[in-house]
Amino acid sequence: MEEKIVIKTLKDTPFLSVSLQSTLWNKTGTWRYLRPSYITRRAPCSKACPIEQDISFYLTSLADGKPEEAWRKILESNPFPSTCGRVCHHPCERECNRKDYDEALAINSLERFLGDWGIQKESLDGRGITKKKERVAIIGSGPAGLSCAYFLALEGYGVTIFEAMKEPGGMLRYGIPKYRLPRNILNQEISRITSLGVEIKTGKRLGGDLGPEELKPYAAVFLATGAWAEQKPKLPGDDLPGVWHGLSFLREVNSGKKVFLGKRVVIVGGGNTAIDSARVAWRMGSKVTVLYRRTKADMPAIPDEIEEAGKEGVDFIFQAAPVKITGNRKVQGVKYLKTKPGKPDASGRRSPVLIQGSGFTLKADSVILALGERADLSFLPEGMGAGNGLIAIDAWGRTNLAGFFAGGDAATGEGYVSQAIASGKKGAQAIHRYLRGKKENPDEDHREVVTLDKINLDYFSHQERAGISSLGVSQRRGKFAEVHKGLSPSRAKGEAERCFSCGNCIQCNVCLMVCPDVAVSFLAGEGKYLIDYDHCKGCGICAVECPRSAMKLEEEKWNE
Amino acid sequence: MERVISGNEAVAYGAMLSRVQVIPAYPISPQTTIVEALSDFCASGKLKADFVKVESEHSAISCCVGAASAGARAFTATSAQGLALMHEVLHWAAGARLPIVMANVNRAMAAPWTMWCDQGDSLAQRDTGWLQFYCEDNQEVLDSIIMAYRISEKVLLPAMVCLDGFILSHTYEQVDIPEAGDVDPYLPSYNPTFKLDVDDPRSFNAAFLPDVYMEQRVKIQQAMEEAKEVAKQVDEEFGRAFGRRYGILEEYQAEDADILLVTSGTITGTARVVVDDYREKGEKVGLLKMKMFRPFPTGDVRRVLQKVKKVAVVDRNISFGATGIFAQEIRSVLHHHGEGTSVFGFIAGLGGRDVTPQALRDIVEYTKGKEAPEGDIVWMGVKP
Repeated sequence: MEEKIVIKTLKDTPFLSVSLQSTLWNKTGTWRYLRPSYITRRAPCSKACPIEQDISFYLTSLADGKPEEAWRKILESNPFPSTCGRVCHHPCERECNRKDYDEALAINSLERFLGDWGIQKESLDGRGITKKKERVAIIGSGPAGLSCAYFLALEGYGVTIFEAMKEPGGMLRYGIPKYRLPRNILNQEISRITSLGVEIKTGKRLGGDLGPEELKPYAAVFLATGAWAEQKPKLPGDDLPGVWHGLSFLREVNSGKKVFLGKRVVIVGGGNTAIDSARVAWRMGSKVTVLYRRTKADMPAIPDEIEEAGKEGVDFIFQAAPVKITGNRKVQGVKYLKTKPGKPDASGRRSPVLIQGSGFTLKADSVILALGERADLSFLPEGMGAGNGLIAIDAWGRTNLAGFFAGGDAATGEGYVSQAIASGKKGAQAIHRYLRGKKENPDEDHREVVTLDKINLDYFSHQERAGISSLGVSQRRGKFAEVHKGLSPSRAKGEAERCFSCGNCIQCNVCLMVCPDVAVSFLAGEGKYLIDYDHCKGCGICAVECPRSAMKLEEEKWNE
Repeated sequence: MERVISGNEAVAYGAMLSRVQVIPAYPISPQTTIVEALSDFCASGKLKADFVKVESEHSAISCCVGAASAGARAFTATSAQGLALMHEVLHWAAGARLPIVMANVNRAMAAPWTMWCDQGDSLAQRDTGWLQFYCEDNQEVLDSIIMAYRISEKVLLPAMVCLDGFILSHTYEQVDIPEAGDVDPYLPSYNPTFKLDVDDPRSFNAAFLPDVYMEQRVKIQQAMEEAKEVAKQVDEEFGRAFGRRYGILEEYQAEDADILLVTSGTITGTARVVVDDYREKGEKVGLLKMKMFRPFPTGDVRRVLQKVKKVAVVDRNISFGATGIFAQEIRSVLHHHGEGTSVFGFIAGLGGRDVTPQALRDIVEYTKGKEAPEGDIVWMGVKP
């Protein structure tokens, strides 16, 4: 480099201005003011998911034709993909960045696809897990209890679940109808958990045949008893034969018991129990009318369920509140008054006000009241704190009694399956920290959430969301066959390819291709990119062009 | 394969047969159908090239510079304002010694808006260091694209192949499309001595101080001079391979001519008919077709013209404030070398006005009737 080239003659003059040696010695990286680097940001779907599943990661695997990798990724955070893929209220899709571009990803259908794929092709075993000596007792085998058991078993703990009912599953088995969640799917997801060594003792009810003595050998206890106590506000005539409460009704039907409803059934309520009851009653051959005291938009039930109920022929009367169940020795009708929105209540929702004189009576052979559920706390161990009708827990899921933890509907009152699973997982993590003597709080995910304006839409094209096919209405009556069908492998792959992979590098090579200094290289062995900071001038094109916001630019701090 | 195709299709076939590897192009009338045909060729897999959609002609030619710097055979096409927008980068392509070939469909410059033919666009780029060729018919267009790569890659200067807007670009003629298997040995792949290579990074086109810049310019001029001989050899070899020859210029009935028309582009075809008519009447009128304009074939032009009494140059262009551009060049060539030759500089056919056989007869009659022109410019067909 030191030698000066002197051109003395025309003949010596090169025809082109080109250096005779490599220019690699010139460390142009020293010019850099901004430093690009790779970062994994949080996708909005993951943030919205109660279980915080790494949706973008497993969809990338699926799009790459690696369903097993995708399935294993799901199972790291959710023991129930096939179940959630059917019954989850999927808040992930509401937050999907793609919804403001064309349509949200069909995440729920894809989760179901991967879950079912795993049921058919794969299994888990406990090999490779180092067993720990402590055993944990879990009360309740609903989604929260089973989820807690699963994550504890993965950590190596011995787990025994005590279940009051004859079979495990809790609300999944005794609440949710089969046309939404076929029992073979549920059974297989549960058996995957027991295959890890989790023991389930059924017919053991806390406060009944399960006493405190029996829990003594366990190093920790997780209470996940659910919300089985039904709200039963006083209504004249509610003691007539033919009056049911929603959960009891579903439990009877789901237990395989014969239930006789008659020709006309009136359902009262707007939650999932009400809609499930309505669709079950319709399948049993009745003409079904749902009375709800607010508007359709106010219904807490999953919108798709309301939609399907309507398709099946369930009638809805909105802004209508029952005032009396009429009948002589048995139900003959429901008298209701129309309502109008009144003053906002504590939750900000406007309480319905009855409109006097608007009375109308619907003929009915049965009435199913589905006015909400809450936790039954009558059997709580002595001295355990409660509040607002729930077992009192702290941020970890600890109760006031040492070694006792709680989760699911009994402790959170949240109500959705995925929330119960999340709560069980959180409980397992807390029990693990407790048993390992860790005092610090669990890590919280403070990563920046990627918004649509951070996605480089130049790299995407509009594509229709994969729709799912459903059983025709005529084929649903009288049967409990599953309504929605799953995605085919090719449609699932195509749908996964629609994912923006917000904040997650999928090795698309854009950074590598746009770098004017050829300072980005791909390390195939490690599956990641390397920036040559000796020559990266910090122009920032890579970070700005990154289609999915998986790079960042920071001011270079040369002096530090 | 004989086919009836437009001039623009002839361009596209020429590029395809040259196995161009990168085609950055931006559409502009009347060039657009070249871009369409090439994108079709790429989409159908007939041509294995990277077709790059760009946002302007400036980007198109810049992308060609990048591609050629990396050792690829690059091609683009444009017209008029598009060519003008490329101006800065045209200098760069020549200075960086990149053998890019571009088709320019001659279109008059705006304002006012016009889409029709004259040579104002390409001749305005005469000093950028690009070789320039003007074509008479669609066959010559196709053949010239292939030959242009041969010449360019030999002398390492970019080349512009010009064809008259609409008169050739959108007119269908019978064209013999050579077989790829015949073109491949004639035009082997391009392998430059220096190219951008990530495994062997080098600095290209860094500053030359005053002590060497001038020598580098001399090298470009030497390459231009060399191009005249190279073009003749390439034409000769083309003739051997395909049975067609064009030369860098063509003399038609020029041997004993008293009056010699000098034309370029499609006016040449019309002039051949007019010359034939005069010859039938026994009048010694001949024709010099200018195919190569840059480098200007000074020696050959001088040899042909210095024995002729009267030369009638037909310019479809004007250098405002001076004269028609071919006339300028020819007067300059004859200075001190053709004192007995009188050069008449006609300007005709600007902005697509037809240059008819009658117009050319008027030019011949004017030249016959005067010892010398009345001025440096004789305007043909301008309204009184």
